Amino acid sequence: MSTDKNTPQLNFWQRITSAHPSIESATERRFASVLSMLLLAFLPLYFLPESIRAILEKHSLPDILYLGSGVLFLTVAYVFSRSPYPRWGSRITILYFSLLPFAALFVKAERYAGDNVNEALIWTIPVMLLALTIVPPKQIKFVVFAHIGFYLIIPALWDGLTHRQVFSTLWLVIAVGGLVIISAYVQGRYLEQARREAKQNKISERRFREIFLGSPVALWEADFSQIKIRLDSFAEKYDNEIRSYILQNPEAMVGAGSSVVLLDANNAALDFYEAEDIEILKKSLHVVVSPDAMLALRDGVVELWEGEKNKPIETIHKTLTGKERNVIVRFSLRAGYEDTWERVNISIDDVTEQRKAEVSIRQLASAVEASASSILITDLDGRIEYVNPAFSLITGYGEEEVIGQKVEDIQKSGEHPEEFYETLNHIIESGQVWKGEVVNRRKDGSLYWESLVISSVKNDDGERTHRVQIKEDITRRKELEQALALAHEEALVASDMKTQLLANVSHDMRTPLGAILGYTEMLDAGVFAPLNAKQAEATRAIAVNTQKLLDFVSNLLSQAQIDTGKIILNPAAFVPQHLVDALGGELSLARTQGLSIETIIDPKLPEKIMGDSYWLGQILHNLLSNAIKFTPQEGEIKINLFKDNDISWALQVSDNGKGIPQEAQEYIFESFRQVDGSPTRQAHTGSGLGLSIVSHLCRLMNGEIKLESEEGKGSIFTIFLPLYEAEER
Amino acid sequence: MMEEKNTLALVIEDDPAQQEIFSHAIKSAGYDVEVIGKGNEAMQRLDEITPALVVLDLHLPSVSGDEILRHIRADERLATISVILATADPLLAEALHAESDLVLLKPISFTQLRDLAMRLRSTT
Repeated sequence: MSTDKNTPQLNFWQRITSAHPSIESATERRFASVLSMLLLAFLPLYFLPESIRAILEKHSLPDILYLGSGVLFLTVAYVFSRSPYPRWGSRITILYFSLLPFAALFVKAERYAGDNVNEALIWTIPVMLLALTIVPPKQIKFVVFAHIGFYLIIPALWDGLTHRQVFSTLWLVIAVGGLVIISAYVQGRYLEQARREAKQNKISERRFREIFLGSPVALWEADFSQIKIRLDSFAEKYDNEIRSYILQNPEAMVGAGSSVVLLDANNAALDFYEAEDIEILKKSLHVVVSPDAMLALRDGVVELWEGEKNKPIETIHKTLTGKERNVIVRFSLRAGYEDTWERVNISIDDVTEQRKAEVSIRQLASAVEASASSILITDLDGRIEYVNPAFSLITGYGEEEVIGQKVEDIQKSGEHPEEFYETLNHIIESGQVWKGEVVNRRKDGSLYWESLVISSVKNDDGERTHRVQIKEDITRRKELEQALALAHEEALVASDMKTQLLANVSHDMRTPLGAILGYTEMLDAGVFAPLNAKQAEATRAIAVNTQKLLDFVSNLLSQAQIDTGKIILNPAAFVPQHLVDALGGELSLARTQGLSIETIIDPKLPEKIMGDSYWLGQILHNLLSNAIKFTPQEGEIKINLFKDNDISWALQVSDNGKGIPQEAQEYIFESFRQVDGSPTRQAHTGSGLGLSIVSHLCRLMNGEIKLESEEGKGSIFTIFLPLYEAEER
Repeated sequence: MMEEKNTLALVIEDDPAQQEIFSHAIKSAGYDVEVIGKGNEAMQRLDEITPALVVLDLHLPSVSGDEILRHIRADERLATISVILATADPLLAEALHAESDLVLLKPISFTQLRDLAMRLRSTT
């Protein structure tokens, strides 16, 4: 506001007395301006009457020269005063006035002759005094010495002038000159000091401005003088008990806020309050200063009154867009304004993020405190810096007992091999996260299982500073696991026993069943005696049912082996014909029942192929049993072993029986399933295991089942299997 | 022609019921049958005779069936004898598959054994 150097509208007087624009120093400008004013005022005042007298009376040449040279001198001095070198103007002026008395002696010799000379010379005294105002103090002595010098020289230059005539004035000049020098010296020192102070002030002012404007902290400069006046009046009335008065009388400061005048704010402040410029901020102070901030202002004022500087006061300010910010405000009086409070510096620290962080830290801290998992924080050497209450609960150690201790010293059980601890330490030291289960020791020496996660805490530079251990007591879980493992083992043993029992039972059943079947067949074959029709029918019925019982027992054994995963295929070379040969008495039995069973072995099949002939036999047997079961007397069954292509061969059993309905084809390979609801169900009872075993074995052999069936026309089961020809030995 | 053919068959089986079924089946197939119930006796007997067919039970007292089988296969004189192996154990059956002409899983049907023996007789 006071910074504009060039006032646009200059009046005439100012225009002819202003200093040269190149001069920057204010004192120099003032000096130049005063000098030019003096000269302009002096010229007419001094020369006009003299000139008129010179013209009206007699105008001798020396008179005119005298006046002319005076005009010339002072004009030159004026020109200099308006130039970049106004000091020369002052020197010329002084020189002129110094020379003037002596010149007068020459020009008006008759008037100043003899003792009258002192009337002229006495003029040097006001000149010296004049010099005091326009000559720099340091140069005053030269003016004085020059004048004294002139006094000494003038008698020699001017005939008829004796030293004695001059001396009477000389003493006076010396006395006054001495006083002038002394006063100039004093003045010089004063000016010097003033200049130094001014310079200092300027520097500190500039520095202050720089700091103020460039500060990253939001800064205000405000005028609190109205508040100071109010406080002063309170102080008179209430005997300086300002604090208690103000704090107890809220109304005391009503309106104080609006009496504060915001003078300036730095860029950080504008950014912070989201104000485009200072004027907008000035107008919007009522937005910024919330009611809470008014309390902060009141507190700040009290602190200022008590001489406290920069006392932090936390409050909430609002930005111009209405965002609430947590701030710390500090008030301080600007040096030099302690009495008036016209300049108060206010700094505003944004602590919103800190406060938010503190809240989240508090939340995290309480979560950690309340956690049921025990949590430890250690330094990089493993020394405990923090434990949460759960740790104390689980281990029995109080917090104060473990702080500063090494975790391994108090917790290590030694239950794990040394390599386990080494690996653990290695992983942690490499900065990785370690997860695992550890047996640790409680304070009372008892051991317990912990699930443990150890991770690192890093600082902003990514350096690891601490480790965090999160531990959970899993002793109970471990016990359960062990119990479960035990139970599982027992179950396996039980299951094994069941399977073994089943195997034994079926084995032991098969032997007598085999004997029954064998004797029945012998009877049927007439080995002992020819049978009559009724007897033959009865023996056949015994044979058929015994065969069914045998099949069931065999399948139970197979199923038990499948259930326990006991089936291990042992591929070996076998002759395809042997598969058919190995079919039990069922084949001949079926034939005796009137079924036609045809076996075809493809001549293109290799002589020997690789496969597990026992289980292949089971497949064929089950398919055959199935076909016999569902094919009426006089039906036809075909067993066909053929080469499908270079990489597969097939077992095929086809019949012209009742067939399998479409909807049943999907589930007949499941355990214990038969086509239910069929009218002939009673006649075809069976375990329902056969096809499920076929399907399972087929999967084990990487084979594929194909079922073609049409109700009333029959079924074709084909098992495609990978073909591996046995190598010739 | 028929007279020249060796028709001696040895049934090595300890269970009396099986013995009877096997011997009847083999007899029906046209063989002369000799039945032995113990492994060691069978070994001794095989030193004396060279049967055309041996029906061998694997599970035998004193000397087991697979020992006898190995003995037969190792002896030059006996090596070509047809051996029908009878066992209730599928794993053993598989293990000995290659060594024998036919492995039948117990229980063995009378008609099945008779028919197979007939076929063997006509092919050898």
